[in-house]
Amino acid sequence: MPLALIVRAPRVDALVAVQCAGTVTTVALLLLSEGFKRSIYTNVALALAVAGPLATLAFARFLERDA
Amino acid sequence: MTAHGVVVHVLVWLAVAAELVCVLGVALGRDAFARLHYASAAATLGPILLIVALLVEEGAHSTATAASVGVALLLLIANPITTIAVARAARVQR
Repeated sequence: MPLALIVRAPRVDALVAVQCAGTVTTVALLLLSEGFKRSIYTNVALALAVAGPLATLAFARFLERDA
Repeated sequence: MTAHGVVVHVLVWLAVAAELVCVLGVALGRDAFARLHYASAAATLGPILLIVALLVEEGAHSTATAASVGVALLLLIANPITTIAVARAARVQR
C-alpha cells in the first residue's frame, strides 16, 4: 500500500510513505533475524535504520528548497 | 506453551498489528500531516513492543538481542528528526 502511494500520491505524501516503508521493512528484518536466528538480517536492518532516515532528511530538504 | 512464551507471542503480534494499522493509516490518511501521524506511530510502537519482546525472550545479556535493540533504538531516535523535517517540507509545499 505505501508503494502505491509512492507512485500515485503528491510528492510530500510519497515521502511520508517512503519513511513508513523504511520503518516497516526494518522492523520486519528484525523479526526475521530473531525468527530464523540469522544475524545477517540484523546487519541489513542496521544499515537500513541508518540510511533510511538520512535519505528521508535529504529528500525533505530538497522538497523544502524546491517549493 | 509457558506463560513466558505467551507474553512473547502477544508482544510480537501486538507489534505486527500496530505496524499494519499504521500502514493502513498512511495509505488512507486525508493529507500529509495525517499520514505523518501514522508513520511516526509506526516507528514508535513497533520497535518498543519488539524491544520488550526480545528482552523477555532472550534476556539482556545476548549479543544478538543487543544488536536488535540497538537497531530499534536507532529507529526511535531518528523518527522525531525525520518527522519534523518532513512536516516542515509539507508546510512549505502547502
